[in-house]
Amino acid sequence: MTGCRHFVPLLEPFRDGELSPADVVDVEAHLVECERCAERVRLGQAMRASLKAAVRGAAPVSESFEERIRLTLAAEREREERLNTHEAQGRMLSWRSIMPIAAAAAAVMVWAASANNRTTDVGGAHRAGMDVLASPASVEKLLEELVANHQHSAGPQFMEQGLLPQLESEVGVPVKAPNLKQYGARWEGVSIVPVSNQRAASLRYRIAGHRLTVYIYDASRVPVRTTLQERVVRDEPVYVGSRHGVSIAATERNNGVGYAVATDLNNDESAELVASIY
Amino acid sequence: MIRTGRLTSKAFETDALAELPALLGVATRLTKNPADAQDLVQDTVLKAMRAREQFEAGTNLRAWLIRILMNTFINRYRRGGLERSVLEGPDADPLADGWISAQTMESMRDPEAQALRPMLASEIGRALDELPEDYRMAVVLSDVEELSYKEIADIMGCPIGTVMSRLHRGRRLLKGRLYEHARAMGIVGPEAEVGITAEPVAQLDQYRARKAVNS
Repeated sequence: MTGCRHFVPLLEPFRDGELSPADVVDVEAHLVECERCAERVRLGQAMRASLKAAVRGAAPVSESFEERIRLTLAAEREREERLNTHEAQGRMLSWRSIMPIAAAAAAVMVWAASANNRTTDVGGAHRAGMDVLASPASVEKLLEELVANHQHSAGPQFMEQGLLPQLESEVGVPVKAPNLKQYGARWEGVSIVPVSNQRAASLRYRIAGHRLTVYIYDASRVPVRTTLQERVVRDEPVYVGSRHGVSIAATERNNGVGYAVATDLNNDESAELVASIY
Repeated sequence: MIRTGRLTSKAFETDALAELPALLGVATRLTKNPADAQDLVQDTVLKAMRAREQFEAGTNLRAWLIRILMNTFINRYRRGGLERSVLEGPDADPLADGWISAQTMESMRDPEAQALRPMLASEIGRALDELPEDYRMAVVLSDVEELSYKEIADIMGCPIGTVMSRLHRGRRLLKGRLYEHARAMGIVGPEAEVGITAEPVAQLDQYRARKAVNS
């Protein structure tokens, strides 16, 4: 029984998975020698199993209760949407008073990439593709395709935002809706579009009647910022340029995610936009 | 469930619905009333939905939801915080952990089910409800919901050492209660052996102090 006085206080944290690895080794060694402490742990585990069964068994979630919660959440979503529409109108006015919009349409393109978080295996084809895409001519071609898609695309394939994560397998990077709420962006839907042998998610929004497209795809295959000029917005480097009257701004995060925004606002405004959205 | 990135309302709904059994279990032990428990869970989920931007990506959604649930319970159903345990303070309980022999502990278990003997298992819910509220919550959050000491401390608004002491005392009271029941049911005989009389809570504090110095 030697040592129990030392080990008894450690048995609960041990069972709860709260001990350091070194202490775990010590406790396990003691449990081999000491039947009483081993039994303390086993009884504790038995109590835990019975507690779980008792607590969950006493309060089963019925279908009608789950339905009640679903309805509550659905009503809340509707309330939020009404609120957003209302808020958007108010906020757009102040935004426009700061940055007068000359053009009728706005396009926002977002490139997202995570070198650490890629799920699609593209192997050698990926490498070869990068070499081709790294040339300025192919980057130009890509920009043209995105602008063309923005201006002449068909309607969205689906509107359910909850399905966005499933597009990761198509696009190769996690697809999440950017937070455009503060600009009053109204969600219209998403589709998958082919861009330079890659697939991109094309997210459609409208801001005060102006069309807005957000593209998300694997930017590590598309070094778009190499053909743009660098500047600093709020301590973050942003890459800016214009194509066919469309202003483009790109930025990258420390974790390897890159974003680019293209609008037919001026370069200052699109740089501000990309910096403020993310 | 761990998730990274900002939650959309739809993604939030999916994740929150998956936590309904945990929320309803905790709420039922708090309110001791099924209808109140359902109302509490509904309030909680709605509040969480509205506050979902504050949820820190990558942290435990269940722990976050339970924290909202506890705060809602305290604010709405009981002003003035959780019931303070009358047993808080010096640990004068004679039921030291070493009091029950290994043989007795073994006969309280069902070796095949790796749970308590069925007659004791049916008693444990009642024994749980008789615990002081903050002991009961510590035990439920740890043993049933499998939250970490840190997560429980955040939810209960107390230091980790207090969580450990509430857990220890709560479990020991449960064990003592189950032992009495086992005696009454004739499952175990009278306890002849007097084991070591460790003072686990004092030692836990020492243990934590030692850890704090070492780390």
